[in-house]
Amino acid sequence: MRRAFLLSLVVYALIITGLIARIGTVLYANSGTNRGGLVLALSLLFVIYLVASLLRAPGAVSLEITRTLSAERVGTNIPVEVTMTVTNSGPSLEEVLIEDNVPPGLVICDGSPRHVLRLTHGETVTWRYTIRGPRGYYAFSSVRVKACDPLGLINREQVLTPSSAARLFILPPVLRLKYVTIHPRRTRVYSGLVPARVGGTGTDFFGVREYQAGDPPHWINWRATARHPDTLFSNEFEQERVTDIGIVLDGRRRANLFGVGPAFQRPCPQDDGHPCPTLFEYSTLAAAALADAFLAQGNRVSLLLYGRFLRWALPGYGKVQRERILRTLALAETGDSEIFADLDHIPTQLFPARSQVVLVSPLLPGDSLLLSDRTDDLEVLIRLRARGYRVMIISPDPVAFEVALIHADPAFGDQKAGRPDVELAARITQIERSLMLQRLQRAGIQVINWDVSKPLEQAMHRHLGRPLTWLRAVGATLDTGALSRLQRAWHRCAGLGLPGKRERGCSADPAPIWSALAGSPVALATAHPATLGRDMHRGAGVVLSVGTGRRCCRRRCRIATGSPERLDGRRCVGWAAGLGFDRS
Amino acid sequence: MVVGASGGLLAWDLTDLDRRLRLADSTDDLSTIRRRHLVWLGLAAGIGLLLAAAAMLIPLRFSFALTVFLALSAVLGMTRLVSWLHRG
Repeated sequence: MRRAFLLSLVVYALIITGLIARIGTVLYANSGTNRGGLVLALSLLFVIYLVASLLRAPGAVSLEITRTLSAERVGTNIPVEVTMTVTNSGPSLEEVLIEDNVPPGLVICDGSPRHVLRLTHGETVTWRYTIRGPRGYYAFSSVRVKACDPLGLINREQVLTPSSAARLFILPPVLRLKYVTIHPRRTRVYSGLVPARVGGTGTDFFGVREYQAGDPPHWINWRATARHPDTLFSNEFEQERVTDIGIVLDGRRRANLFGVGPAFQRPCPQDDGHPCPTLFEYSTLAAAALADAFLAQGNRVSLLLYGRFLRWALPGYGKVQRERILRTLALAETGDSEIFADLDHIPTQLFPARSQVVLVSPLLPGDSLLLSDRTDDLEVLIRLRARGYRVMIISPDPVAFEVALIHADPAFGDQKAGRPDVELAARITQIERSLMLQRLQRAGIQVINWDVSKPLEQAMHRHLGRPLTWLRAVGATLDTGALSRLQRAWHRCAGLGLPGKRERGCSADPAPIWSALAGSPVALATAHPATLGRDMHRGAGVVLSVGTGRRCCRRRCRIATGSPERLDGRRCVGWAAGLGFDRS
Repeated sequence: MVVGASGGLLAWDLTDLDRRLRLADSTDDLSTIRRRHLVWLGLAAGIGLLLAAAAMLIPLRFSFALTVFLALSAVLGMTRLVSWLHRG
């Protein structure tokens, strides 16, 4: 309409100018040329232009628009095709601009949501475009339609709503975790994969008890029976059941203030040019992977988003629950709230008593300036543990994340060389964080400090990998320090990336294993569950199991008490693991 | 002057057409839109030029009162036209 208005002003000006000139001509008849008539004639040109526009001005816009998405739920940055179909049920439109309002955050990677068309009555036009985007929920709303006459002078703009609402869930990527071991204090009655600390039917050796009628013959422990000829003994296995697991995703903005801001919005070279993910994205990733792993084990899992407000996915089982949790995670975003500023308001009544609670959070120490009321996350978590919940914390390391970002940023690169205070600050912060995590561990909380530059599976496997068969058989508790020492030694020995590859065997020099255990009381045992129970009483302290490969089992190289050289001589070093015995 | 004004009007119109069509996708059928636009523009400019030329070449003599009346009628008519456009 601006052009029409401008043109009208021009016409007005010409008419008035012509009129004034005409008056002058009339008043001063001898002035010569008829300039007033010339100017008035000039205005005719613009008047005709206006009238021509008016004749073909668009009438009421009556379009039927249908929008179809090729998928309603996709993974991050997976292309989705949007098909738009427009039918003109009204009068012909000489020129119409139709623009689909793409929700902010989505990127158009092919085609265009905006088209300029000429639509006759009853004509149908279809076009497609492709979008992709980061995790989130995107609701497609309206379509902007702007019709105009052929000269573009008179416009008619409307916002139309397609007949069917379209929405798109872009779910977080789900990493496959092979096995995540948890030991909640209470399990449910249904069979699953979580050790229930109760004897019965199962796969892992649990103990020996007196024979009861109905026990299968292959359960009879003949060795124990031979020692007590008047009684039959049966092996007992540990029951494995499902359990309740509540995952809490910390969405407090003050706890996730890492990797955000314009300085960190540069494209990530490892991620196909997309912006580097924030720390909260990594938290979401971990929550999705954990939920998937727990549900795959048959557990009942719920999810609580703790941020600006509470968003709660009710507990459930199976694929439906997995989808529900992933959709809830797609909606997850950081936010601040006075009420949920600290973790003290986690509604624990949502979680069954003595169940497993998994918190995914970078954690805020008590002296953090981001905590207005100085309510320490640690105290809250320790209280949660004291109430009987089994608490596990997956904590993406914010210090390492921030340091990596700073180092990768070329703007900071020059300053870093001349400013060692950045390095010093990072070291101090890392030490403070380590102390905080140690406090949590001492309180009996399982803490997994995840350096997000490494795969989640690696961090999870190190802390939560399924214990070895014989380890589960004796029901021992893991000594994390000994295990990590042994794993490091094993990596050096085997030259393999993960302990999961142990079946391939390793005949390399086992010296690193012994040096890793230097100073620890060592006993050697086979990996056979039935014999390890007995060997356990002979050994003391840390037990090193060597040689679980078939070759070793066939040779029955069971005991080599305190003499690693003997075993080394037999070349039975297949894999190694350490554990601390409660009954040393 | 009339020819110059016509040229200015055409340039202004074509610039705006180019701005509008820049919003279109490369797959759109812009040739039809452009052709129809040029047809209408040519008609409007041609008729306008003809009328302007006729108004200049055909000598019509009005009295002062009639001239004022015609001018005021034109202004009022234009006002009605603009208000109609605004309502539209």
